[in-house]
Amino acid sequence: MKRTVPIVAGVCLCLAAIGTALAAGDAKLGEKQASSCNGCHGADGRGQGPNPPLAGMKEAYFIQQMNDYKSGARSHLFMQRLAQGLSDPHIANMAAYYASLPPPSGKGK
Amino acid sequence: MSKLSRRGFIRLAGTAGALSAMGALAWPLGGCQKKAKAGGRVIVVGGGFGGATCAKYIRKFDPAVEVTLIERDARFVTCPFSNLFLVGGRSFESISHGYDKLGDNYGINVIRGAVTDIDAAAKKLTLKGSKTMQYDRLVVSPGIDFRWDAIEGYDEAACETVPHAWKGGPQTRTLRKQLEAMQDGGVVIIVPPGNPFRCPPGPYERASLIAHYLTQNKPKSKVLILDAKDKFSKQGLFMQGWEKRYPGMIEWVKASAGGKIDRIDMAKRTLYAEFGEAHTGDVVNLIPPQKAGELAHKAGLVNADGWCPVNQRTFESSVHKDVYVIGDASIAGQMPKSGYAANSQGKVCAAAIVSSLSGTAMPDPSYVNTCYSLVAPDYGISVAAVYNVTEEGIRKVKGSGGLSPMDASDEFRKKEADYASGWYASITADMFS
Repeated sequence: MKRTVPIVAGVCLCLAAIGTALAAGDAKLGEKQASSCNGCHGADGRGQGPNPPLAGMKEAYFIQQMNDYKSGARSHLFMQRLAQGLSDPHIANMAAYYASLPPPSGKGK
Repeated sequence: MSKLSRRGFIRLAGTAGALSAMGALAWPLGGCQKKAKAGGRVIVVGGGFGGATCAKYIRKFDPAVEVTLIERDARFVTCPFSNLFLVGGRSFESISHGYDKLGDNYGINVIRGAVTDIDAAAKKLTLKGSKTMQYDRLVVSPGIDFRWDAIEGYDEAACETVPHAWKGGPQTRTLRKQLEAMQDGGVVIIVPPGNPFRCPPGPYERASLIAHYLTQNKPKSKVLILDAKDKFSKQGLFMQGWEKRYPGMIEWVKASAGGKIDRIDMAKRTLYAEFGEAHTGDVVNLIPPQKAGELAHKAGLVNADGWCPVNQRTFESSVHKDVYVIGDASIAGQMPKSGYAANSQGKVCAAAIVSSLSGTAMPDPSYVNTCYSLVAPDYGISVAAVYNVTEEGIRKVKGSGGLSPMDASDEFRKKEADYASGWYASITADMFS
């Protein structure tokens, strides 16, 4: 419990170092919070079949898409139903996590 | 997994390790020099949707933790998509998965064996052949077992001729052979159990796909569902699909209309309801009422109803400390007993264990369930939901989730069927590669 503070500090330090100034999301928490996405979007969010890769997606783009699903501005069978269940900080953390991953190479899985 | 992404994973894992180390160095806990190295030994028993996922994600979240996965079978045969196998729409191989990559790619020690005893006080388990193993944290993911005493005349031996086929494996093949051998004009009877049970829409998907097979191969045949319930999952969507694709072929008898079966005459394959008429089938698929897997009972992890109470934030057993129960065996609030639910619980449990071993905080858990069913190979329907933990336990987040719409176009249903295949490829890759 007590170590929450240092780890968050560590992440902030790291993000600052790579110049992601507006990063509100916590990638380390996001890794755990995003893990359920992999059930459809492939291992490590690398995409699978009709489900696009999330790894390497720009943070702001990810957040925008999720908000658009929430508002109905973008429609999708599943994602609208799922986005409704996610809070803003949850989405921000996932965005930070996926942005921290390299995009999948080529067409592979 | 491509080489590049594997390297990417290792790099990421390295970063995670460095971050924890940085945290630990920067803020020594008031001079209290506890364990220098985080690590710890975790044993996961059961390599299905819950266990395989949990073992892999513990290693992903913290490679310093030593993970052993103990599984009875050499390969895992999934229940999802086994209904498609039943009617020739998939090979057995395509629904079977091995554990090699969990060892090769994640350094998990995979042991094939059966656990005979768990000593929670001594943090020790015994394997068949009397080898013992110590753990710091134990994850039990035993799936379901059947209440053999629930239906008179039906027992473990009887299921060889009247298969339940409710665990992926030999029974799945038996049921397929029986369907193939049946004459045109025959009656297939499916007997779904009462709640709670594994995969709530499963019996109705099975009825649908069997009807699809019969329509094409034995069109004078019929499917009769004798239900222990008065309603079922995705009922409106299923019934609309049956009307559209198989008019008159599937008959559903609800419990209160004489569908609840309490006796079977095995020699005649005749089913008797407490009130109502007797039904004889050419093929009978009896899915008995269920309880948590046998190991959970042996280890004393169950309540009076035969399921395992857990802390729904971490999936730690309410009975034994440092023992976690995930998947169908656990009592998980409003989450259904499904593969995706077990996969999602495995990840939350992995995060909880890594956090407890290293003394770090874990994020508020959030669970997801998505569940596709096939009314026909090109006709998919689904339900999805996001869950979080409230004072009453795991609850669906208001406004999230929902069902496929009624009256959708053929194209829409086809798209959902495509998503279902994508889901299967994705979740099995998430577990085993």
